[in-house]
Amino acid sequence: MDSTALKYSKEHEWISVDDRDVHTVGITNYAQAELGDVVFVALPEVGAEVVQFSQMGEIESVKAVSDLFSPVSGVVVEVNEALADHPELVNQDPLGEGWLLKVRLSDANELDALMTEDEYEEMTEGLH
Amino acid sequence: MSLSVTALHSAHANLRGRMIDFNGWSMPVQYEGIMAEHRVVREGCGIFDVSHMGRIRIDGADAPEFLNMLLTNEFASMKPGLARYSLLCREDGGIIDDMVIFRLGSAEYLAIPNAGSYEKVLTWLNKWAVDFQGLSVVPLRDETSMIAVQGPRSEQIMERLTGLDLNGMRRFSHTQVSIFGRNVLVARTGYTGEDGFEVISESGDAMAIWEALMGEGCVPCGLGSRDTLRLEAGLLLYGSDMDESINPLEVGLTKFINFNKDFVGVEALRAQETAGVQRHLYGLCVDKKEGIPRAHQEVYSNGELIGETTSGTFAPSLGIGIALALLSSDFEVGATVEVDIRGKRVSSTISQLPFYVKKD
Repeated sequence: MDSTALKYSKEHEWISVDDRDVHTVGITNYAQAELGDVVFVALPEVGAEVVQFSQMGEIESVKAVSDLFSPVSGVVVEVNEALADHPELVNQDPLGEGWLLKVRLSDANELDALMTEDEYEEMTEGLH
Repeated sequence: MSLSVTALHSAHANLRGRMIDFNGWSMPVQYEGIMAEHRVVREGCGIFDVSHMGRIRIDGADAPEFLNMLLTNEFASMKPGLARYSLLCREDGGIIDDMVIFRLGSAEYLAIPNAGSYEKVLTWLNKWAVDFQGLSVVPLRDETSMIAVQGPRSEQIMERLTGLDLNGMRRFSHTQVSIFGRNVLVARTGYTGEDGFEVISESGDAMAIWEALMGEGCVPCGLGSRDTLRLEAGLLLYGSDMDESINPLEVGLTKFINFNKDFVGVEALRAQETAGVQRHLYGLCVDKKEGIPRAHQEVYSNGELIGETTSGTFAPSLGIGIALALLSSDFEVGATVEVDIRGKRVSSTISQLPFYVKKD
């Protein structure tokens, strides 16, 4: 996936940005590296509503558990079933095979509250 | 407060180890990743800097009597060249620390308490030592370092480094050897459930030994995999699975108590043995991939709260979440309980310990 076609949240999720109304959501490469080996991902069910910047699931590494936050509001239309047996995909390919879910946006304007790749990189550099 | 660092600190930095505060020590939790490091110890050979652990020498003609008075296990009849695991208990049976004690000579022992217990163990030993003339309790953590070399390939690697045939070296035995002209103590001990060795050297020699081990293909491993390895092996962690409010009978360590001698805490432990314990440490394995148990999660049986987990993790060798839990009821292996993993009751099975047994 072309990472410049993504927008980013402060909680280290990415969302694909194009003119379709279904968008793919995942966690960033920075987030997977910080988490370490991902061993379990708890995602909302298909049909569930998610709310921008609210908790939508959990991701567990060997050492710790972290909350997942939705970068936008909308309805979950698909979750990545492969993660149940292969959570390591999140580490191996966070922007591709390790995607988390697809969401139908309820308000496209919410995307404006997210960061561009350059803005996100600037933020993560400030975290070190 | 600034963190203490070991003699291998610069090696961890060069290897880009992810450093954490562990009981006041800056230690690597991982280098490449916990899963990969775990696997290398199960299948090859990993090395751990465990210099944060305590090293205390106890010297004097009365040292055997002194240790037998304080420790639950038997140390007077243990021969030089051997080591034993033991608990150090308060008068009421509460566990001050658990440790391995090496007998170096007829009147010389070396105790390896936990990093976080080092000062209190020293204080406890010194308190009782005043009654023993000529006994010295010598803290050696700063001047010495300790590297654990763990995994099925460890024997072959240690043979190359020492030039010795280690095939006949028994578990829990130890010997003074020379590695590149440096005198070190090599023990067949560890905390991973695999074959392995621990190497205690002068701190000035630790970097050369670490680099020699790296040169033999050993993979550096951090505290993250040390924890997953020990938990799979059913080995308890002081401060998590036991502390001063818990006695050895409750956590299944009765076999390390010698009731045929007098030691501090023996009356309380004898009374407890007669009365029976009210809670017991069990191994739990979650039944499905519904979450990973962590420490301090409530455990239920038929809807009733019966205790809590003391340690929990994802078990890389088993591919599922495991935990140790202190529970108030009696259970057989195979019984079902529920662990409250952040609000979700996850079905789990009481498991045989250890969870993982090494391959021959």
